[in-house]
Amino acid sequence: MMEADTIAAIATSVGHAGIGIVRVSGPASNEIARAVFRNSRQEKIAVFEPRRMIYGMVINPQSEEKIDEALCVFMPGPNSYTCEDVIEFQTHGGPLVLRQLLRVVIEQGARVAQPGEFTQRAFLNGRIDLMQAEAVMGVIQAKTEAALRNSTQLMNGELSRRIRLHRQELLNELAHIEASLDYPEDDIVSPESGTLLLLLEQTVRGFDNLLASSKTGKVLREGLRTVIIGKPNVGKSTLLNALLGEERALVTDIPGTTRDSIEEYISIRGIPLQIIDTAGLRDSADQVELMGMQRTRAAIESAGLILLMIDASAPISESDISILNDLPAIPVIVVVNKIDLPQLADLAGWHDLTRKYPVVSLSAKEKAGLDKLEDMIEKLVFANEAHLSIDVCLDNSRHIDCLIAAKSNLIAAMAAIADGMPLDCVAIDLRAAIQSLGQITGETVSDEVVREIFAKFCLGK
Amino acid sequence: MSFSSQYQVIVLGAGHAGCEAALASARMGCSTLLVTLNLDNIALMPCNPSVGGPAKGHLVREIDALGGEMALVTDRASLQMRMLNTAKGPAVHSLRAQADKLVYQEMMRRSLYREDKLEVRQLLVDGIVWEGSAIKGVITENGERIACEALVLATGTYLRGRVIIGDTSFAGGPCGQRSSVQLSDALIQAGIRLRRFKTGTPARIDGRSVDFARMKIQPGDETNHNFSFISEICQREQLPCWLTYTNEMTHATIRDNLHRAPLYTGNIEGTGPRYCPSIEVKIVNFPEKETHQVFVEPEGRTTNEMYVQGLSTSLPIDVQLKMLRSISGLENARVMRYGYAIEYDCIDPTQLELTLAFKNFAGLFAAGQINGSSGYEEAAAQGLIAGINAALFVQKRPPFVLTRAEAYIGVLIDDLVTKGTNEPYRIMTSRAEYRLLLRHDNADLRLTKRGFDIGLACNDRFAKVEQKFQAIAETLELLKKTIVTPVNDIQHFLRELGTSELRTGTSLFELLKRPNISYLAIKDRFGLPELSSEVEAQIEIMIKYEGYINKQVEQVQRAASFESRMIPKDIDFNSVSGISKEARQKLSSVRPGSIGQASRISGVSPADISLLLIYIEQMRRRKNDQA
Repeated sequence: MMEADTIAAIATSVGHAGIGIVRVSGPASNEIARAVFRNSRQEKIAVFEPRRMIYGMVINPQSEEKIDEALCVFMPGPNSYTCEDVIEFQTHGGPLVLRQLLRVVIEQGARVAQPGEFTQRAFLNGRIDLMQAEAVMGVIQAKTEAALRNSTQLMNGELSRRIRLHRQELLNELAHIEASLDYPEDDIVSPESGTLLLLLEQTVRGFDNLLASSKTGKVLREGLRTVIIGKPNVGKSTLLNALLGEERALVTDIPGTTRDSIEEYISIRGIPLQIIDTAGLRDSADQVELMGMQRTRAAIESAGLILLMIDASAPISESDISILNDLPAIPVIVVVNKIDLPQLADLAGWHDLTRKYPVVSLSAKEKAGLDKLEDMIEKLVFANEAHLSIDVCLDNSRHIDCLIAAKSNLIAAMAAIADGMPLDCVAIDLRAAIQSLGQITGETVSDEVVREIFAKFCLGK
Repeated sequence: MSFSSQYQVIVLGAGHAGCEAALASARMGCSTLLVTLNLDNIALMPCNPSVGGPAKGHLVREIDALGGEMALVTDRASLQMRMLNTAKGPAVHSLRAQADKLVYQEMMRRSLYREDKLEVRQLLVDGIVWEGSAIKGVITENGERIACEALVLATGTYLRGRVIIGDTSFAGGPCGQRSSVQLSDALIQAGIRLRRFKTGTPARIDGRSVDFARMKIQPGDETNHNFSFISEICQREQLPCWLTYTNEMTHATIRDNLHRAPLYTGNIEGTGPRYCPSIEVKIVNFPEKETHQVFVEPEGRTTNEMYVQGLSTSLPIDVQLKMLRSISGLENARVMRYGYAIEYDCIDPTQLELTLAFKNFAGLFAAGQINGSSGYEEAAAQGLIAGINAALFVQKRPPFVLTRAEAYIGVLIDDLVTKGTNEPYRIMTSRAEYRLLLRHDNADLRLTKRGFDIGLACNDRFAKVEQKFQAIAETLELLKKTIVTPVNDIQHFLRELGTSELRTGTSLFELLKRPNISYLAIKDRFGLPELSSEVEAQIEIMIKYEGYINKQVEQVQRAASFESRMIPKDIDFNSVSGISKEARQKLSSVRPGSIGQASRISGVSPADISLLLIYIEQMRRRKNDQA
């Protein structure tokens, strides 16, 4: 079912801007602001005066903890960009603060806006002109295409896999409830409230784990797929460890140490990256190493960003050049490593070869120049060159958004069971949770439930 | 071209859809002709002798609230009534009646024959008279032409019906009726897409050959119930149903004879319903289930026939007999009619609008099994809506559509015309997203005014509902206003009721939210007025489930802006840029009336909807600029 709701997004680019804006639009925006904003005397604001900037702070209303100092302004519809009630929070521009703020806003009932959705609402409410609207349609189209291109990768992500599992479990349970409601005279035993409660508790715990891990980015098995490639022993694993700040990959000075691809998840300047350290590419007769190299090539195929490493302390070889010539048409950063050692590579010659790619020189071992690499990754992402990643970021936040909404539905369901509410009421919350966990195009939860009912139970006379 | 006679509305078929359609049209003032293949078979119940149950019973209540006939007739024909799901919440409480089939027909016939503007005739219609794409009339098998302005197709399972038992099959309708062959061709010629569905029914046995001592008795409720909000029947003599079970021998008999089952030999091609599978399908699909329930139900007070609910089958007759006699209590059963499967033509319902009018033909409507549904109640509900809209069409008045938030009828019709169906469609409570609002107890509060406004529900009905509204409002007001304080005698009273004491002053409204406190329990203590049981039930449901009711009301409100955003009729979905190919095809074929409806079409994504919204706004502005 389509519903009119309240949307929110970080309205400024997620980088090193001086200030950052979180914009909220829709019927609940005023209520959300009341919940998350406090004035300079740390009081709740009862009524926001239209178009007046108030100084204060944004907080997490559950813990009352301060997130950041902020300015808050309320623009009542129809005199706002979207013609709906709009709240804007201006805070310091750090990505962490903005994401925390967006998260508490979502916890208060907003959902993450689709690309172009503010403009879309503005247009539908008669605000902007046709040309601008066509631009928005372009964004939506591009988003859909990118999502399609990316969908296999996303669907295989660990986070979405786990969400799907939870969703299926809830769907099974709902089908059981519904079968017992729609077929009272068939021999179906109604679900026990105790068993149901247990399942819901487990599911909520599962959600909590996913949400907790999404904060650190550890189990968030999605992000811009960033593949480190290069010939053996150029320092790929060292770079991975340096970016992670821990010893994840085994590092030796023996070429070919990494036999398989290693995947890790980190957040650089607020951008989730899935970093894949690969087996070095060279001619080798070692079967295991050959298999590793096959996987490297597969990783390159699915990459959103490639970090091509070369060793500044060794002359440029045929392997380096053949790797360079085989690169697919995706963003590449050339990382010149080992600048702490005597320079034997003909770097000037290299720059001729790599003119189409940006080059960053660093020493992974000494952790020197890493910030230049981070700058470059951020620049590529937000210049839209590594544009797939925007969708990946977005879909991640959407997953989190789903989890938060579904969790509150399940908590309501548990409260209903505890209050002795009948199963047809509990089903309302369960349905809402399943709906929150995944929008299926055109197919409603009802369709799915009916299918489940008849797949599981022998019903009807 | 000359016509022998003329009517404003003609209804083809006098089954459950056709009867409601004809009555609604005539009651709304249109001269109406109801055509049946056999005057003795009006409102025939060719399958189970029961009406109602979860969601189906809700439909019956809604039909009644709008001014339809099914509930009144069922109340008069009832052999037994049971309120189902009483241990569950109010959304799924539902009434189910066993009906005397002959009395049901008799009562419906009386209602039809009483109606001034309605004529009923026995005719076989072979063709349709068109003027362009508009209906002009029908042609009978004798060549008679009858003119009309609107035509409702309610042909049930009779279009090219084929009955199958074992390896024999013959053309015909249910229960030895004629089938209608030519009309299918006429529809195909007009460009209407048809499909083939299948349904089936179990054997009827002689009640005198049944050993009831070996079965479990299933009596009706002791409390009296009525389907209709205006029935005044206070008591009826009830007949019991009987429960028994299949066993391993039954299942072995079926398994050993699957090679002779038309469903598995390929003799049946039509798609059957998951909702009432034949016993052979149940045995094959759920091999781990050791036993299946079998209900033996009376078909009437004046017949020996009993219906064997749960054993629907098209197996050969020798297998049917062997299978029956393996069941406890049926060891000596004598079969009076064998079970059979029937295949029939129906239309793809996505060719219809929410009014049940065909999108491409002016004045043509369709209702009931021809639309791919199953069940008497589903048929009657569609018949009522098609009849209403046929009358409104003739009278050039705005169409009548119920939304998913208003009625199960809305859910049923929106599902059929928006999503289509690949099997005979059955209504279920789980199909309704606002189930707690669409209760069977408040169908009159939801719908009677709607029925009254179009001139269908009579004055008495409307006055009764207005009274009920008033009583509810006054009582709620009183309960909110009356505050009780934690004084000794009140605390004592609460303790006696088995609930906790008050900590502070509270209203009776709040007090009634406690699970173990009923209106009746506190009525005398606080001098509250005596209420009718119906009003009392409304009060308790509204108070005890207030939180969830509000939740659902909010859901409805959130969806409302999409439901009410209309898609212009002249839109060309092919020129909406950017939407997926599948969405384009589906939208062009279904031609949804609103954004809400479009969003329910499978294969249409939220991104497609966004693009569609923007396109419509662009269209609107271009038109404004031109004007």
